[in-house]
Amino acid sequence: MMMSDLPHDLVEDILSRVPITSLTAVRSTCKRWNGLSKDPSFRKKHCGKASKDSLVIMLNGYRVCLMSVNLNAFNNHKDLVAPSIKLIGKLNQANILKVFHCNGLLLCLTKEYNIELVVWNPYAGQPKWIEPRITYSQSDIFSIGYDNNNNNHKILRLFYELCTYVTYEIYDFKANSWRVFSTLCTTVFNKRGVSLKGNTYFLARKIYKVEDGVGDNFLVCFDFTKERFEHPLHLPFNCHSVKEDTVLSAVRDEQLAVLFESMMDTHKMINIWITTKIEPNEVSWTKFLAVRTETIIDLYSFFDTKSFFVDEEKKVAVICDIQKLKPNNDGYYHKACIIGENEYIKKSESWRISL
Amino acid sequence: MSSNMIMLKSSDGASFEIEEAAARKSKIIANMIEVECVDEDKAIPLQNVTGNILALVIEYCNKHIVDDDDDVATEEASEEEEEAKKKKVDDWEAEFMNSMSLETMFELLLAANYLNIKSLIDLVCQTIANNIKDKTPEEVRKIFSIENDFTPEEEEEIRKENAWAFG
Repeated sequence: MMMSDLPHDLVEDILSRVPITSLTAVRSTCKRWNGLSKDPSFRKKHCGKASKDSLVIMLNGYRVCLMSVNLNAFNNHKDLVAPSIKLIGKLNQANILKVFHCNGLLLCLTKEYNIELVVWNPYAGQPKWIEPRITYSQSDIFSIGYDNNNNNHKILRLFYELCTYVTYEIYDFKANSWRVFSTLCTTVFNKRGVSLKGNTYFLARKIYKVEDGVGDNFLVCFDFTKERFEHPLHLPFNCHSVKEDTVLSAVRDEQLAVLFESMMDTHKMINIWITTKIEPNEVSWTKFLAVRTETIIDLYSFFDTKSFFVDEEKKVAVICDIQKLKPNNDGYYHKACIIGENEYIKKSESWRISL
Repeated sequence: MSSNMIMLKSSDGASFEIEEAAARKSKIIANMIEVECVDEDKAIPLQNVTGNILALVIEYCNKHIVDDDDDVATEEASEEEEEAKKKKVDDWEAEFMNSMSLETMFELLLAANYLNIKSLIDLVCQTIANNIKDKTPEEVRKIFSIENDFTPEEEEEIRKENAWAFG
């Protein structure tokens, strides 16, 4: 009696329980397993049986890393098991500057003199390099989304021309080419967008005009099906100062979360809201967490939150990239922390990651 | 609690007596009992399961009837008791699986599949999958006696594809 004597669905059942980091071994074993592991039904099964820890894609030292995050300890105070964030897989293939994702597809910018753009599905391997229409630049804004009408993934690239026009171009995977759009520049986009249900949401504000003063921040959706920016959506706070920081995050592929870091009179606050409804043209928010930062970080450290994610059920947020002065004062190192309700905080001392 | 006993007969003619509650772990047998095609004096013939494998199946089912009864009373049990109980079952399952060869596992899996015992299918599949975790392709082939049927060109192709997977 051998594995090969088992019926197809039982072999599939067994192989779908192998962790994602051992799938390369499964594929390299024999033709039957290789074919089976590429089957859509296998992928579906495999995702369903994945470990209960959250899997998070992060960049560390320009490598794309797959991290397993277990926040369970928060539920169980008598249990001394600390929440863990551990590295379970690493892609050594290229130096990566930025990574984006949508529906399991990863879009990466390489950290080379000539920036390259590559898209791949970590389940299937097989990278696809996307040729630029004009050379990519570090200041370009990228995102990946999904066109529901044509069942097709698309890439958005956004850049400014002469400060008066926003040019955006869309790469269509079916057509294998870029299409260019141009619009009058009235909006400044902050940082990176977040993909949700195939569309991308950006934080933005109106371009500065002397007569209007500095405008409020707002949220704007790029609809990949209609290939256009939708109307501005309101944020649950007012943000005027440059000292304040706002970051977006997706909550599973269902809701959006926004982190707002603000200066109060004597201390800094971190506030997080989650949407109760999010559509390209509609949004409503509910408060999720509020924490005073001095309870999290020691003296001489400050936040420059580049990314975060939340676990709704456990009422915790993991904030990445807190810069902290090294003990010998010769620079900063990066770390993450986990914050929860009632300002209950746990620092992940053992885990330092740069993003 | 009623403890109706029923008889099971393996493909090689061995007979086993089992509590009805334990036998009901198998959806197939539970269905047979429901439609009343089980004669109290007659053993249920299981043509696809040999005696030594059926003995393992029965050992598993006997161990797990207790848990199902307890499910009703979980409201009362504290979190700690729950955890302790779960750990006990996990330990038993680990030892149970540890005692058998891969070949026996495959046969047990086929039997569990035929008898439709979901939790046993899960347990066996997971145990076999654990044998693949963190192994090289050569090691996996050796463990499962699988022949490498790739040509060198195909192997190179797979290696290229896998370069973009998490390892």
